[in-house]
Amino acid sequence: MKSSLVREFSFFRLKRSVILGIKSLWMHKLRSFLTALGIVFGVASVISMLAIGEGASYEAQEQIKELGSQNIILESVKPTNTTTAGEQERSLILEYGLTYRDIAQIQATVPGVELTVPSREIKDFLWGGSNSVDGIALGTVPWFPTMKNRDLIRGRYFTEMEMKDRSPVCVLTESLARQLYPLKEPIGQTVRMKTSYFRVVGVIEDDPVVAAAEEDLQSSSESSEGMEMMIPITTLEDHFGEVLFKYRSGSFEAEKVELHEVTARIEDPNQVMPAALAIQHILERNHSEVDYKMTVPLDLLRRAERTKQIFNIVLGSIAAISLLVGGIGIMNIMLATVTERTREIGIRRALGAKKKDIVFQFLIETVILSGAGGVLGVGVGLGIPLMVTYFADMVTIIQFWAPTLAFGISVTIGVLFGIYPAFRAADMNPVEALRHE
Amino acid sequence: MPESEAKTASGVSGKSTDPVIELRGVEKHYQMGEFLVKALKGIDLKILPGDYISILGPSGCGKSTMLNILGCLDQPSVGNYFLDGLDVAQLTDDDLSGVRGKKLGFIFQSYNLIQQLSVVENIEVPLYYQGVHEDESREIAVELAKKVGLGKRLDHKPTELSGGQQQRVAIARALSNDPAVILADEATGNLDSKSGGDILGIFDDLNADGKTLIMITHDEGMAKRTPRVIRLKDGLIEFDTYTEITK
Repeated sequence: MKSSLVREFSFFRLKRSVILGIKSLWMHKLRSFLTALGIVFGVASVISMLAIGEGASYEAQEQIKELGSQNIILESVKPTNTTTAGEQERSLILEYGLTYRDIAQIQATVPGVELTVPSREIKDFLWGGSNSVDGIALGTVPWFPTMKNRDLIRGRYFTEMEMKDRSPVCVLTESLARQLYPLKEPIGQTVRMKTSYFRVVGVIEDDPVVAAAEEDLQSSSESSEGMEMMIPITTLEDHFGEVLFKYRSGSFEAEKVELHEVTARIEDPNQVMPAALAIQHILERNHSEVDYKMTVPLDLLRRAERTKQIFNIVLGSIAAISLLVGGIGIMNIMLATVTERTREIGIRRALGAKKKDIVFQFLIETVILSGAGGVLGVGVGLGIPLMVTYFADMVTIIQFWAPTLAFGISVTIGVLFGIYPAFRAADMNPVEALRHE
Repeated sequence: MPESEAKTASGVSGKSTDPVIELRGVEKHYQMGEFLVKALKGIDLKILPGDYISILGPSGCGKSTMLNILGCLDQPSVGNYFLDGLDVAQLTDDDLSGVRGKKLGFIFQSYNLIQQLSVVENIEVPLYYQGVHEDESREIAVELAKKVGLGKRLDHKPTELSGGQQQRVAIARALSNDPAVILADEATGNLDSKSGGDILGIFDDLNADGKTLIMITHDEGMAKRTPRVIRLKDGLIEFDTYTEITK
């Protein structure tokens, strides 16, 4: 009759152990809560630190990616006045920056250069209807949007035919279109710069890097950044000539810049870094002084990734230490609990509990403690990044594995730090344990 | 000498059943610093199913050691202990736990209930370690609680019960695994005479139902209730009703 009642270890036994564990912990609510709190903070800090770190690097990486990871961007930079000071005064025209010769050489000698996007810019007032704004006329090529990862919002970009014909057509950035034609459909309207008129054929999205920078400043009306009108580079040369005159607050300045910006795309992503080196060599040979700047988004990306790694390691170890401290707290309390419940252990042993039953009972208790702490910690850990996003306006990203990992670690810590107290409990001599007061 | 006497004892009592407990030349030694203390110096004893026994003796006579050995909480240093035909001296720690859980019921002076568990749950503890299924063990526990008169306090915690009630829970717990032998260690020591009397009444009833009961006590009055009395002195049996009868 008895043998039919006897069952092997099964799910019900686990269930009852868990219930028993909860009952035992419930007897000392405050103590259990405070013990679990260590794990709560550990888990919460792991999750939120990973989320904040991930968010920060994501933002940086997105900006870099917008530049195009296969691109190498060259810009003309006004040289600092050093040796050419005398020359300048004589000619009155400051000549610097990238030239068509540079591009030709790059295309001819660097392998795998797919396209180059030369551009030139002129800053002046742009007029559309009765509105005017301080803006930029950007002379460029038809494949500019593809290379720069910029989407057209309305209409079309200008074509190669129009570039060849030097047609007076233009594409406006979104914010410029909003400034000049806030109520009207901009396509088909004209925009004037100096004495030239251009017909609007399309609207393109704002430069994401500039847009991001401007969000912080919140003074977009003041600066001409982002207020771009794109026209064929040939048209720009036709209408405004090679030399640029600037009249600003009484002073007069003439500049001659052939190209303000050149973007080269490298076909093979693995060849970006060698190509960048080759281009640098060409430019160093062609220019006596550094009147250019080279940006390699891929390089920036890699650096950002490395920074992110270091960031994650630092944040991760801080969080891991706090989890470890939580684990030690659990072990401390479990040791105290075992001593306190020596009598109970003796009773259970007398009533037929094997050593492994006792080990199991105390391990279950630590796992419940750390597991409950882990669950609470995941809750808090998911909440902190939301608050950071809300109050500090920072991007935070919670990756699906982060809460899982943190919870897993907390339970593992529970088991690891529970093993010693549990075995200590099981190893007690039942006779002495029963006699314990 | 003891063996032949024991044999005749069982013969005289007229019971043909095998002894449920048999001790042969059991000694227990403790190392106390440099000295070897012999708590039991050679005990020979047979207990038959359905026996009702008091083990008496002043403190220091080896009573507790005797209880620990009979209760399989400790193993003899010398000699053999057969419980229900099983040689306990040969068993591992796990097997000893199994034997305690299956064949023995304990009743302690200080009740030894588990504080965080209710009445029913306390009664269920031995069944839990035997792997009895929840529903069955709950049924058994409720039935036993009713039997000891605690049917209306199933969900009370030990702290909410009087001493007598707690001891009744302990009795129910000792019965839950249907043990071969029930060991009661000064079971009435912490109780007033009325509740103590009630507990002893329950013991009488249990024995009447055929349970084997061994009471360890220093109270001469209690010993009068039991048909068989064993007196210990200095680690040896000084007096045993059976052997006296056979003489």
